[in-house]
Amino acid sequence: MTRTQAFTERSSRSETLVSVRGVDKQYGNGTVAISGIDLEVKTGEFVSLVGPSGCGKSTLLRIIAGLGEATTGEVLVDGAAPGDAQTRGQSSFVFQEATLLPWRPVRQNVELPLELMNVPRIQWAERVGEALHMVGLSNFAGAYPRELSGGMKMRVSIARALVTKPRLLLMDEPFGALDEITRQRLNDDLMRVKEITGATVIFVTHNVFEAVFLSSRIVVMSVRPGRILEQIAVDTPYPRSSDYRTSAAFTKDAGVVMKLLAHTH
Amino acid sequence: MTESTPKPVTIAVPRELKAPAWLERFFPPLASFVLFIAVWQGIILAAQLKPYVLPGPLAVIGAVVDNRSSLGESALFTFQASFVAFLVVMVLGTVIAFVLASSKFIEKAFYPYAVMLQSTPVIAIAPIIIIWFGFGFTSIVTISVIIAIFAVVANTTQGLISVENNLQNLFKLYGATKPQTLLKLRLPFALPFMVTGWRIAAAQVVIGVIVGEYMAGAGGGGMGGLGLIIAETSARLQTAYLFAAALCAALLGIGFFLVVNLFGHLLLKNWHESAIQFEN
Ligand SMILES: Nc1ncnc2c1ncn2[C@@H]1O[C@H](COP(=O)(O)OP(=O)(O)OP(=O)(O)O)[C@@H](O)[C@H]1O
Ligand SMILES: [Mg+2]
Repeated sequence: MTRTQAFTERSSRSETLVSVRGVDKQYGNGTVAISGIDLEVKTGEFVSLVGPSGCGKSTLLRIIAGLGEATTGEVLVDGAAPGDAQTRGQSSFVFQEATLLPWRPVRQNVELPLELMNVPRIQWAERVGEALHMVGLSNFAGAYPRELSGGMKMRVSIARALVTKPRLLLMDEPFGALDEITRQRLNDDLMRVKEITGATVIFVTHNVFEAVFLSSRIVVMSVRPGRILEQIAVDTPYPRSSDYRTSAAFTKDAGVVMKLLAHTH
Repeated sequence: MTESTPKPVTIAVPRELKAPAWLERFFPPLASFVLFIAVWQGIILAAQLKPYVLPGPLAVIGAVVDNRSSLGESALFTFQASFVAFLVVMVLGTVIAFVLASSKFIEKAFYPYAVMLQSTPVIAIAPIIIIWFGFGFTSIVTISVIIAIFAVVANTTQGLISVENNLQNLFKLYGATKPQTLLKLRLPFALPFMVTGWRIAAAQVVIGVIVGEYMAGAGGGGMGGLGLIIAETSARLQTAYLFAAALCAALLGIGFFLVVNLFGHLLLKNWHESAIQFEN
């Protein structure tokens, strides 16, 4: 890379939120999970990662979150290394399971990030209220996780991710364990949340329809070691209503992604 | 909390159809108890057993009444030793568990020895302890601690190291400090495991004290505890008195366990699923 290139890229970082360059990841046991990953995500994009099981989607997401280290290559989130103290709280992670603390009621579960980041206590109530309102759980602030359904737990998990007002939302198959109806409802809600917050989202899923419904771009990965095979732009503008699911454009894009996925095996 | 809770709706059930809850709960164990006493007495009558082989239930109760003051003093001593041993087990066991759980290396280096210590019979260790601390309270408590501490160490360590990976990731993501992770994640996560350890230890601590008294008990006026009474009466074939002491020991053990059990239950109440009856 020449100097001029590096300069132009850094000056355009207001546009680029996440930049992944030449990232490989080899685990301690020798497994090469991903190899040669280059990915740029711009502010406001909704990027889905799809690919066969074990191709390194979670690995890539964890590296972008700063939870894991790349073996080679470079990752920048808003121009800084992920997990940097100065950018802490700019990224949130939603796991496949709700990962709530069972001994805390909903409100205190959502408060957790504020607590850990030493946000002044007077702001908590308002922030938690906003986050719970966004996921439609205002009436359940006092409930314990065991009193909630799977979908509601996932909403709490999303509220917890939103409470820090992150610029980047990383979601690893958040709706994988839910039934189809609940999944679609949560997809609709996520769409709304994205409109309100303007967050940039990187979203891992196995479900092609979900990917097409939510994404502005779909990244298809190959079998292990995971590489990026193809990137598909989904052009239908936001906000997308549930009618979009039955449109011709939707069916066409889903077909394209499915065909690509079939070739990965 | 401002919302008002709705009044519970009570449904009238005809009186004669429903047995009182206490009866439903206590009748089965009571019935088996009566049956047990009857079989006990029956065997003695049928087999013509000598009282020093197997005294009857009435003889045992008689022995309790006859020796009530020395049994009382001894039981108090046993209780005190158990209480002290339990406190030592809780504090020391928890500290050891935290050290073990603080690093994989330390755990690998020391855990096998903890298991080894646990597997060594007390009979083999007790003489050494008596050489070091002499007969009496200190040796008794030490023996009890050695018997009971493993339950707390093992369960607490298990709880501390089995915190879900992604919960740890969550804390890492928001830059949680070590003390924050300990207090807000690992400790509450480990609590049900710890309570399990306490329950087991509560039962074992009393057993340990009785064993300790049996081997290291000394002094009159109840200063040897129930274990010493058991040792002495068995030597003199005072079998009814021996049974009376064993009965007291059993009751003390059960009482101790129940108190710790209740404490654990209160601690976990509204906190952890394990303490709450699952509602379908
Ligand atoms: N901590 C680890 N240590 C060693 N190998 C790992 C570790 N985590 C993941 N792997 C391996 O790396 C590869 C990629 O795993 P990863 O979880 O990233 O895949 P994935 O695409 O998220 O799969 P899925 O769709 O099933 O969730 C797999 O082969 C997995 O076995
Ligand atoms: Mg995964």
